[in-house]
Amino acid sequence: MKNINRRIFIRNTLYSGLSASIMPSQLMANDTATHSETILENKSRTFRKKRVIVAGAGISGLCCAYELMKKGHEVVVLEASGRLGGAVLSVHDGLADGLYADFGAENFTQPGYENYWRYLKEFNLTVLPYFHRKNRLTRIDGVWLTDEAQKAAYNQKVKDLGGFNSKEKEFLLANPSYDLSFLYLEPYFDTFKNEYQPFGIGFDHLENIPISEIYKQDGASKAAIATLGGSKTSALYAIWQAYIMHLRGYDKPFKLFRLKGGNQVLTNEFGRRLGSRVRLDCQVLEIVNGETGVIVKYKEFGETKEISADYMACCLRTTALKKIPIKPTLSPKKQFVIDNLAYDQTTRIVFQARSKFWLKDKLSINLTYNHPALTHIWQVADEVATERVSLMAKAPGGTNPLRTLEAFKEFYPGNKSNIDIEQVLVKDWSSDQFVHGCERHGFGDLGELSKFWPHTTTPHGRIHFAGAYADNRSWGMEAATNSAIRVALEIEKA
Amino acid sequence: MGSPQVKIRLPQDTANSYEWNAFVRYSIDVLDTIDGASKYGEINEGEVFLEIEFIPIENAEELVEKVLKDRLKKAKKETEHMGLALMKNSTCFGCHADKATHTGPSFSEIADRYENTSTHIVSLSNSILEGSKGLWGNTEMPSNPDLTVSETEQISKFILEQGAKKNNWIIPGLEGTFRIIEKPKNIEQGFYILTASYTSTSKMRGQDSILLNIR
Ligand code: HEC
Repeated sequence: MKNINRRIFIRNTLYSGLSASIMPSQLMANDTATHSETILENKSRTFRKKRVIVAGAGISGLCCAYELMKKGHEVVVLEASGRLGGAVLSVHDGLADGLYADFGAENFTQPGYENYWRYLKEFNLTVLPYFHRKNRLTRIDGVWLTDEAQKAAYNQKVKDLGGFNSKEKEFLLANPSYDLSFLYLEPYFDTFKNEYQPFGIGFDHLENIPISEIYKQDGASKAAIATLGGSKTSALYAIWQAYIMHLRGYDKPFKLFRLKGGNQVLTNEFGRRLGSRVRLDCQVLEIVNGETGVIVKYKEFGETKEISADYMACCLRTTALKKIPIKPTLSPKKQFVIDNLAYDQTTRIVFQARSKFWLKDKLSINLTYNHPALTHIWQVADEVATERVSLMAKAPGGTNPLRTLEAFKEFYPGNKSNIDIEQVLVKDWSSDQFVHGCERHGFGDLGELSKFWPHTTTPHGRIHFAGAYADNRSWGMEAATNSAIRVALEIEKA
Repeated sequence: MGSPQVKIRLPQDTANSYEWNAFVRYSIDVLDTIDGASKYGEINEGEVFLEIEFIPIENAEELVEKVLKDRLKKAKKETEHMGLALMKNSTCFGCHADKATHTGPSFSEIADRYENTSTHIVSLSNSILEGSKGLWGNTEMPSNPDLTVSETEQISKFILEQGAKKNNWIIPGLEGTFRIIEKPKNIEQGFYILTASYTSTSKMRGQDSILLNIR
């Protein structure tokens, strides 16, 4: 261990004296040319300008680099793919009449997404309301149900289970039924001191107790226990997540929004401001965390290069991090997170139709199919002035889009002959080379939270970790901007 | 028309000598007269595999060289399992890996849960065809109606065989990283045999094997 540190230290001091110079020596066996550089150092005394390598130009990498740049630090963003934005991907190509669709991160909320909204104001971007959950129809056991019919079925189920108790009834007079859990979780909220720290506040033992036990213990009715479920969810995790939702106002009805022109407008704006600080087609290969700085090997068009800096903001998802050796090795806890964090795998399928054909059937197009090749469908880019429409469908990763179309037609709740879909586009995140998968999964199983938290966010020496996976909730663009700002602050203070 | 040329590249070290538990980063160069060159992005990554095998040397007296020579010779002769060939052409590796859990369970987890029996081959084959949900977690696997029963049975066989191999790993792709195992007790030295292979569009197979010395 000692030896390793020493070697790193020597190499590091050697490189940090150089600036943008070509190293003639063969650093790697198969390199055709090797090139080494350091980001220029600033000598000012009052403010110490830091040199930071940001890995990844997804929304978190761009946001973090932008924050650091604004504070006067020197940043270089290395992005493996040929585009900015990562999982924020708005597609116009292949759609007619100016239509577009967000194949990746899809919406944001209010309340919530506070940091995200700050950038929308700062860059003066146009926000549009998003109604894809309004007037929804849901297919359950082969039957299409309205939200009201589902509610009636829910009420019937509650009645069959013996009904709610008086405390629950009173709570539900003022709150929607999907918030019932808050009646039992809210009393725990006052104990939290910090939304990022669920441990050490007297609840640690709850990690291994199912939340359903808490409902029981706190006097929930049989109907509430049955409808709330949670026999496999850790009580600590459930309480903590509910607390965060409460802080951000998600326990009250919230509204959905998207950006006009596609959510990629924001990542494009970050990119434009960062300019040539972002280097596309530069895949990080290895990271060395030394005592005085970090050294990164990366590949640019097949050529291996090296760059060093004071710190790294590592904004890569764990699926990419798995492939990057980091020296010295990460702590076992950190390595566990990288090896075991799981992500949703979805395929996004976009249909273009000639008209709003569903209106002929007096239907809403917000349809939840619950079909293996089609989970939901809804309309996107509805503000574009054209008779044509673009529809977004969601399916599990690896789904053949033509099967999605077939399922759509077969189970469509109106007259099939009205359907005038003319184009099918697809984005399968489960097979994307760089952005493998969508949002990360939670850590809610019994005994799981302490395996992931807080190690998901802890730095490794001079390497700090941000990304949509590296925050206390998994909603993509919110978590990405929160964690990016956290890392920019960590580096600022370091 | 010759077989494609395949070459394993290890950037870190020319001596090919590694410590236990170390990360090894590799890349694979492929050159084929018809398909083109990996250098120019002309090679389908899904057709490139690295097979890794660990050979413990328990006894220094053992004729290390002979053991390894035999093993390397065997590696040269091996042909591809039908099940693997089918999986490569499907979406499976987007969600599954041999020994690592991705979105779906790893082959080793599947092999740990189900013994390699005809009953299990049928039930797994059925899961692959119809899709599956709730057996391993909350994420669902899509159905694969484009495959036939005999194909999914071949795949199931391959998954169970490969998953059960303890000192053997397969990883798809032109580049990647793997980690050498922790030092087993009673063993001072071992070898890793790396075999990269590529099957060209004209169904020609090229491969390259190298040896890593682990101390
Ligand atoms: C979108 C991701 C995804 C893709 C693509 C995918 N799988 Fe799966 N697979 C899963 C998940 C998730 C599970 C666990 C499902 C469950 O819990 O029942 C699974 C389970 C399995 C199982 C175990 C089933 C059982 O009965 O226990 C096998 C075998 C399997 N997959 C093989 C395949 C093969 C072969 C392919 C390609 C043809 C494939 N998978 C493609 C996600 C995927």
